[in-house]
Amino acid sequence: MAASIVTYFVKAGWGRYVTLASSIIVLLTSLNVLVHVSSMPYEGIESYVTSVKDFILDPLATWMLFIVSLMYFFISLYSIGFTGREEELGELRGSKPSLLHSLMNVFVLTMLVSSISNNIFMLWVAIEATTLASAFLVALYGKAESLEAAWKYVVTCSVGLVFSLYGTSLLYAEGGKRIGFSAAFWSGLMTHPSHTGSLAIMVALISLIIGYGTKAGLAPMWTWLPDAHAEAPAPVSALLSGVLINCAFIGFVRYVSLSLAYDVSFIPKLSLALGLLSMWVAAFFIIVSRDVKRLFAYSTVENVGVLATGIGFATTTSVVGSLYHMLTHGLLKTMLFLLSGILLWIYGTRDMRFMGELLRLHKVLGFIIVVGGFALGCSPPFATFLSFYLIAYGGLLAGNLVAVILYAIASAVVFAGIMSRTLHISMGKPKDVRRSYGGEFDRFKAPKTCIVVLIVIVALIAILGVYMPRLFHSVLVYSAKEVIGSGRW
Amino acid sequence: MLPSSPEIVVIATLSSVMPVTAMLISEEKSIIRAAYIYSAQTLILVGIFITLGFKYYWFFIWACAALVTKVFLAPYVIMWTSRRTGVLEETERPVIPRMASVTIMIALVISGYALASAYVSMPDSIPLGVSVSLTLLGLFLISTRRNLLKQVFGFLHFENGAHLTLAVLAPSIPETIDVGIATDAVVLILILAILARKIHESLKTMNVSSLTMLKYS
Repeated sequence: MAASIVTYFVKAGWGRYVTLASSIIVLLTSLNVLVHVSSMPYEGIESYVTSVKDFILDPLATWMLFIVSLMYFFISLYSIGFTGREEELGELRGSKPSLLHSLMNVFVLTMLVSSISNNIFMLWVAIEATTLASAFLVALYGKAESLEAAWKYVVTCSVGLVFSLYGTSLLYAEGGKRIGFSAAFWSGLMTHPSHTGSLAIMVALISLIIGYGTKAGLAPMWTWLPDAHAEAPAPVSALLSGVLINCAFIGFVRYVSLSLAYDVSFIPKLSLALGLLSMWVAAFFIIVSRDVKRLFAYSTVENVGVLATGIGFATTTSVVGSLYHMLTHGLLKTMLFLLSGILLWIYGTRDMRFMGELLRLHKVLGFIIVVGGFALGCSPPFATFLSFYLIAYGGLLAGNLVAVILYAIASAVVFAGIMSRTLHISMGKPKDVRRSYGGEFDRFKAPKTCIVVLIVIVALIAILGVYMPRLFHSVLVYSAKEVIGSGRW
Repeated sequence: MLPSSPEIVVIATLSSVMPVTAMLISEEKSIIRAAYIYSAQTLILVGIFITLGFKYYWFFIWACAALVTKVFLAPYVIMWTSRRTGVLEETERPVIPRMASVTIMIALVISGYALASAYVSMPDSIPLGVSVSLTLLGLFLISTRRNLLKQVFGFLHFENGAHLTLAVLAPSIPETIDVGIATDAVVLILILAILARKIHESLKTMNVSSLTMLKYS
């Protein structure tokens, strides 16, 4: 919060460094919490409630906190070069660079609060606040398209979240009959599971799945996502795709886990159905997409589908895979959206038909986009393959062969669609060179910090594909235990 | 859940007027007059909170928050945007003709009551039914009106419906959470109003049908 206020009032140049300093502090704090939680044995959700009962630092919250802070750090570092270059190009003028940093900090704050909320009403307030904090970020360029995207984003997500508020109120009213005020907290709801077969609970959980599913970008409530992610400035697109989606998905996961605790078996099946639907819908749009940022945005819808499918299988392995995919996909999509900012500087268009020969223009970027394509297609040896494989294996363990086949085919279609585009950008010929980079290589001046961020993220995605740190493993296993319940463990 | 008491009769009577105001807002062409009617609708909500305040003291805080944010601030923002852009009337033809629209709205209100009656008995079902009806009317307004400011009124219905639901189903939630929800609601209206003004500046229209620049590929 302090960073957001300071960045608004100081010069944009200083604002970038204040944001970076803030992100380093948040990252170190979250790492400290991650190490602490992973080193302790799992002792039930109530043992993780903080002294302020509205907050919780359980394995799931800790994992989310780490994801938010890691992406925040990378995006802050990238933004140092990004805002400078955008100012040079005249894309961000006047107070807009300061506004970008200030709102980015508010946005991250709302996501941090949503990650560690123990109070179910506070979770709703924080998730709704993420929409409000990011609306002007989506509309920052002030073009007609970005205003349209912002309007659709706010309207669709807010309509979805009204369902969540109804679900939250109904859940609290039902839970309150038995456990009183404790029904306002995860810790209370998860430790008193006794609502089997209640129609009101069923209605509440369906409303919550619709609401948080809308915010996470699951089909059929996904229409806002490609518009908002494509029209926002690159660091904001990265925040939306790499972080916000995960925050909303954590709300989704918590309610699926509640449904498992309450024996409402319909909800995990609904999660599985929505997940597969998202993957197939996105696969179709990936094939026909011509806009590079929309391509990545459709891929985000597909990956949210992957996450929901993993949770829907409701086995330890698939849930671990799904939670790990939150990190791997978050890293990858952060990198690709940040790269899209540089591609826009080089080619002056988002239309992929006018892109090409990147490998010749800049070897590192040409290599990165091909690697990004392979990783996005969940190909080995990258971290996304590991999480993808864990989900599929978990589905087989659950005995759901048909769903696993549908999941694998959708992924294969996506792989083909993504690879054809990324290979074209890297090695293909642009449709019209004059309309493309047109030989004006001086347009291509990507700041070094931006390139370094991309290289580091690609390296991380490669390393995490062959080696999962012990502290990640512990936290993921504890989280899965929490999600599917000790009874099913 | 609200306890059975004489207060619930007052609350039921007050809340049953709210869907009528919502239907009036939907059919009113003048944005300014619609904002005044909304102000009156929220004043009824404040009356409900004050009545509940005699049972649970923290509802006086809810009433104060609703008075400032919803009776004064939200309608003011709408009126300011309307005057600033010069869009004083809803000139866009709604997706559904007036007679059909009124019939559907009455059906939605009846559905709201029916849904609430399945969950709680009389007289508790009346405020809950009103809250569900307001939400359904809000959804209807958002999906059938082409004027951006008219769509904002749909959200205002949502907010009042959600607030009433909280009062009926979760009267014991802390006032800090209620203030958080009310603040979110007002900020949402403020953001929508600013976006509507910027869209009007950019496209010279408040017609949502003109927002078709973003294609699927």
